[in-house]
Amino acid sequence: MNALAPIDWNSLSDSDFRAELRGFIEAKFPAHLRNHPRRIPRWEDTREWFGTLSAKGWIAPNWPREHGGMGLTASKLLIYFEEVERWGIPRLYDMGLFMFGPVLIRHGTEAQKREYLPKILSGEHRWAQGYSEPGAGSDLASLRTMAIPEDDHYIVNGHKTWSTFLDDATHLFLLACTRNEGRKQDGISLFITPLDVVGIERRLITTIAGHAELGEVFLDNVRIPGANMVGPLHGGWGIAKDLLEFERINNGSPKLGLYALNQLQEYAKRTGLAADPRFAERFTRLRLDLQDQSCAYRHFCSLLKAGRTPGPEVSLLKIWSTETYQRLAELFLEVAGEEGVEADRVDVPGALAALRLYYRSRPATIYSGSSEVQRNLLAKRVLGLPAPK
Amino acid sequence: MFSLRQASALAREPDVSAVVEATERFLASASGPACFRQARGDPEAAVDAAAFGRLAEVGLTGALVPEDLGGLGFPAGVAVLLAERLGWSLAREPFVENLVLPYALLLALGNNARAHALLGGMAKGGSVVCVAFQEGAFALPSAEFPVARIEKVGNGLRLRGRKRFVVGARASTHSLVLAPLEGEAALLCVPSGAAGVTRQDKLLADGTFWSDVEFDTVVAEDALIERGASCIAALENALDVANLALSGELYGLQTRILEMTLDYLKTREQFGQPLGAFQALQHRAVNLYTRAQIGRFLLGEAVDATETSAQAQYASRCKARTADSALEIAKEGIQLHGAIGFSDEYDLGLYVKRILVRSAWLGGADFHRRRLESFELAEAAA
Ligand SMILES: Cc1cc2nc3c(=O)[nH]c(=O)nc-3n(C[C@H](O)[C@H](O)[C@H](O)COP(=O)(O)OP(=O)(O)OC[C@H]3O[C@@H](n4cnc5c(N)ncnc54)[C@H](O)[C@@H]3O)c2cc1C
Repeated sequence: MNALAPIDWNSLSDSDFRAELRGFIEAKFPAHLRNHPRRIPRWEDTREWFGTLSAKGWIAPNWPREHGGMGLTASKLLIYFEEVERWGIPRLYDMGLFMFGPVLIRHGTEAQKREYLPKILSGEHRWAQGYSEPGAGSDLASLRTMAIPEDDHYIVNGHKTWSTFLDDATHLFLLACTRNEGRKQDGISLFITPLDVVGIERRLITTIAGHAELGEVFLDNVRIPGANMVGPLHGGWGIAKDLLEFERINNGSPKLGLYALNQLQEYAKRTGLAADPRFAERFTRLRLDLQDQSCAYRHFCSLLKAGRTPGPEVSLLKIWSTETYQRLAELFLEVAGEEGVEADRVDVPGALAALRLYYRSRPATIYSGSSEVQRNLLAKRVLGLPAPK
Repeated sequence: MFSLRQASALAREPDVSAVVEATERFLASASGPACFRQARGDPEAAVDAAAFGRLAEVGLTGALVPEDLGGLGFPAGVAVLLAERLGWSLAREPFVENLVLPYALLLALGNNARAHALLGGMAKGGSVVCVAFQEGAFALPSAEFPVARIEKVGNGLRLRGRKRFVVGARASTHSLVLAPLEGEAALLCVPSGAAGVTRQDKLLADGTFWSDVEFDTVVAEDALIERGASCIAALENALDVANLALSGELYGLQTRILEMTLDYLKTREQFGQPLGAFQALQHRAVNLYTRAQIGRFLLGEAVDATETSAQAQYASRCKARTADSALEIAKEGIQLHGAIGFSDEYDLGLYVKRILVRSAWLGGADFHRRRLESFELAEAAA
C-alpha cells in the first residue's frame, strides 16, 4: 500500500479539492495519452499513469481509506470524475478498482484482502470478469461452467466469453456452478484464479471499433484452491448481484457522457455550429440530461457511503446514463457529416472523436445488465408490476 | 415483406423485373458480406476494372443511358430499384457514385454532344466517371465555389483547386469537375491520369474509400462539357437522382439488418425461451418494421415519380426518411443482438458501418429536412 499517511480529502472544500486534482493532473498526466483513440488503451500505455496515481494514493477514489483508497464522498467522487474527463484521460485497467475490489472489501476473507487489495492498487494484478457464457448472457443464472470439489481444490470446466480487459488481465473472477439441483441461483459460487495457470486458454475478440479488448476464456480442468472462493459456497449469486450494483452505480456516473459532451462542445465551437439555434437546442437538452443525472448519481453514491445498498432503483441511473451517452455520440456523428465517417484517423490521438464515441457508446446499453434487463427489473421490483402468466 | 415490387408500378414492368433479377443473380454469385469484409481497407479492391466488365455484362453500366446512345434507356427510377438490391446484398460495387450520379448529370444537360459522347463510352463500360463538386460539407451546388477555379490559358483550360469527398474517384478514368470559369459555373471533364491531378484516398468507417482530389492541371478546350446556369441545374437534378438511389440502397441495407435481427430473435434463447417471445422485444421489432415500411411505400411512389416535377421533393423526403430509419435500425440491430452485435466477427457491423457512410454522403437527414422546409417556405411565398 502507499507509504503516505492517509489524508482526509473530504475535509477539503470542493474548490480546493478540485484545484488540487487539476493541478496534479495537468502537471503529471502524459500528454500523448489525452483523448486516447481506444476505449481502453493497452496496459503498457497506461501503466505509468496508473503508477503515478497509485503512488499518490489516488488510484482508488471510491475505496475506504483503511484499504488504501481516498474514501471520497459522492460529491468529491463526482469532482474526481469531472476532472478526469475534462482532461480526456482514458480508461485504466479498472475492473479491480471499481468492481472486484469493493466486493472483496465486503465479502473477502482477511487473507484474501491482504493478498489481493494491495496488488490491485499497485496494478500488479489486473482483473477480468468471467460471468457471461455463450449461452448465458442476460440469463446469467443459466451458466454452465462447473466447479467440482477434489481434495482442497475445485476442478473447473467451462467457457466464458466477452470478458473485458482480457488482453492484459492477469486474474479472473468467475462464477461457476457448484451444485446441480435446486434453484440455479442457489448453486453458484464465485472463484478467483490467475489466468496463467494450466488449463486456461484465451481467445481475444475484436469489437466493431477494431480493438481486441474482449475475449473468451476456455477452462479445461483448471485447479482452483478452495481458499480462492469468495464468500460462502453456493453464495456466489448474491455477491454477483451485489457487484452488479457497484457496476451500475459506476456506469451511472456522468463520466461516460461528460467526455462526449466535452468533445462535442469543442467541435461545435470550433466549427461555428454552436451558433446554429437548431443545434443549440438539441445540445442544451442533452447537456441538461447529463447535468441532472449528477443529482441522481450523488443520491445513490451517498446511500452506498452510508453503508446501505442502493437497491433496484439504481437501474434507472444506468439506463439514463448510458442512453444519454449514446444520444450525445449520435448527435456528434450526425453533425460531423462526411468528416465524421472518415476512419483514416480513427486511431490517431487528437482526431475527431465522433466515430469512435459512436462505437464506444454502443455496448454501454448491453453490458452490466442491458437496458432491457434494467427495465424488466424496475417494472417488477420497483413498480411492482405483475409478471406475465 | 420488404420488396419494392408491391410498392412501385415501374418495378412490376417485365423488362424492369428482368434487369433487377439479372442483378440479383449477379450479386448472389459475386458479391455480399464475405467479399465486402475481404475488401475492407484494401486500397486495390475498389479499382478492379474487371468489376466494371461484369457490371457491363449485367447491363448496369448502360441501364440509364438512352437506347440511341447504346444503353437500355431505363428511367431513373430503375436506379433506385437496383440500388436497393445492392444495399441488401452489401455490394461494394460503386453503383450510385459511378453508375448513377455521373450518368444523371450528363443526361440532365440535355442535348449536349460532348455529354452524349461520354455517355456512349460509359454505357459500353469503357469510361468510368465520377463527379467532383464538394469542397466542404455537403451543400447544394452554386456558382460560387470558394477555391477551385478554371481559367483560359494558351489553347487550353487550367483547373486549380481541391475537391473533397469524391466518391468513386478511385475507379474513375475521368472526373466531372464543377468550378467557375469567368464568373459562371462550368463543368469540365478531366482525365484521372492527367498531370497535376493528385488523389488522396480516405479510408471510411465501412472500409471503403472516398478521395480528396487536388487539381492543378491544364486540359484541352474540348474538355469543357457545359457552362452557365444549366450546369448548376443539371447537377442539382443529378444529386436528386443520386439521393433517390442512395435511399434505395439505405433501404436495402436496413431491411437486411432487420431480417438478421428477426432471425436472431427467433433462434437465440435466454430464460428458457426465444428472445422474440418477450413482448417488449416484439414491440421493438414491430416499431422497426413500421419505420422501414413507411420508407418502403414512400420509395415506391418516388420510383414512379422520377423525372417528374415532384422528383426533388421525393429525393429529399426519401433520403431523410431512409437515412433516419437506417440509423435507427442499425443501432437497434446491435442492441437486440447483445454483445455479439458489437463484435467484428459478426456480419451485422458491416451493414451498420455501411449505413453510417452512405447516410452521411450527399446530405444527412437533417440537411434534407431543412431543404424540404425551404421548399415549403418558397411555396408559401409564391
Ligand atoms: C463491451 C462489452 C463488455 C463486456 N464485458 C464483460 C465482462 O467483462 N465480463 C462478462 O462476464 N461479460 C461481459 N460482457 C457481456 C455482457 O454481460 C452481456 O453481453 C450481457 O449480459 C447481455 O448478454 P448477451 O450479449 O448474451 O445478450 P442476450 O442476453 O442474448 O440479449 C440479446 C438482447 O435481448 C434482450 N433481452 C434478453 N432478455 C430479455 C428479456 N427477458 N426481456 C427483454 N429483453 C431481453 C437483451 O437486452 C438484448 O438486447 C460484455 C459485453 C460487452 C458488449
